[in-house]
Amino acid sequence: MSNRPNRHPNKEIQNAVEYAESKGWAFEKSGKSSHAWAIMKCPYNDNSCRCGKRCKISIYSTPRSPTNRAKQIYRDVDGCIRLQEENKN
Amino acid sequence: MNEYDFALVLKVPFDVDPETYIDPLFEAGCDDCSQHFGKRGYLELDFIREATNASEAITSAIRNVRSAIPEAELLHIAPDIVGVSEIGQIMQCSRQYVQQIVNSSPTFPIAIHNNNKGLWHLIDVLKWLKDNNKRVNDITVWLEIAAFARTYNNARNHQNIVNEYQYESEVKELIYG
Repeated sequence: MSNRPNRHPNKEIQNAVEYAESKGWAFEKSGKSSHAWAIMKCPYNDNSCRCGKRCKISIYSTPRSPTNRAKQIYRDVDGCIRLQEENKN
Repeated sequence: MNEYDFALVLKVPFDVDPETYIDPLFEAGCDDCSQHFGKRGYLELDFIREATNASEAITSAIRNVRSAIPEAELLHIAPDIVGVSEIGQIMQCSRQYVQQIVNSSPTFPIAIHNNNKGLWHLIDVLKWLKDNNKRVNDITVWLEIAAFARTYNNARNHQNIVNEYQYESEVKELIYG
């Protein structure tokens, strides 16, 4: 179902990434970065959600703390106002 | 050592692809931040940084960012202005529980802005929670972060406002008499 090139080497991040994927987030390879494992994009890309700043994120192959990085991914996905609206309905 | 969880909101040149910042940030020691570049011209970095205090965590992060992206302008530090959702995340409770505290507590700090839900300075809310024993988790680290963010944002706004409008002496008189 995904065009994700490979699994993230860290299990916790991989789980968070799969969660984001299940909410419709899409993958993109970063052509400009060697440290980024992937760029992820929110399916809604709504400018009124956190000023649109959080609709696109990058994930390093080797972040300092994979546990914290995974936590941040869940936070970004769950903080989406469009997702919250959908959950309400 | 504690973990400090904060965000830096930066203005970067509009015509530069923000993805070009990913590697310089990593190499400058920002491998503990998550980067958000959904909006062109802006970059929001969420850090979870280990340090002995908030000042060390935040200032070292800013130094790292400035060495990676010298042209970046630090607009503000978060969390400073928050609504019930953010307060809930920090207190590790639901937004509804926070709203309940707000509604049922006559001494709760007054909101700095009333949209339908209200916005507060986080530091005011945390101090109130501490003084009223309402906290559900340890908020010591958050108190430090909120105080630092508020101080930075206030100083920066003050500088901008004084430069842009010319009412400083009149306003000073109103405050200091």
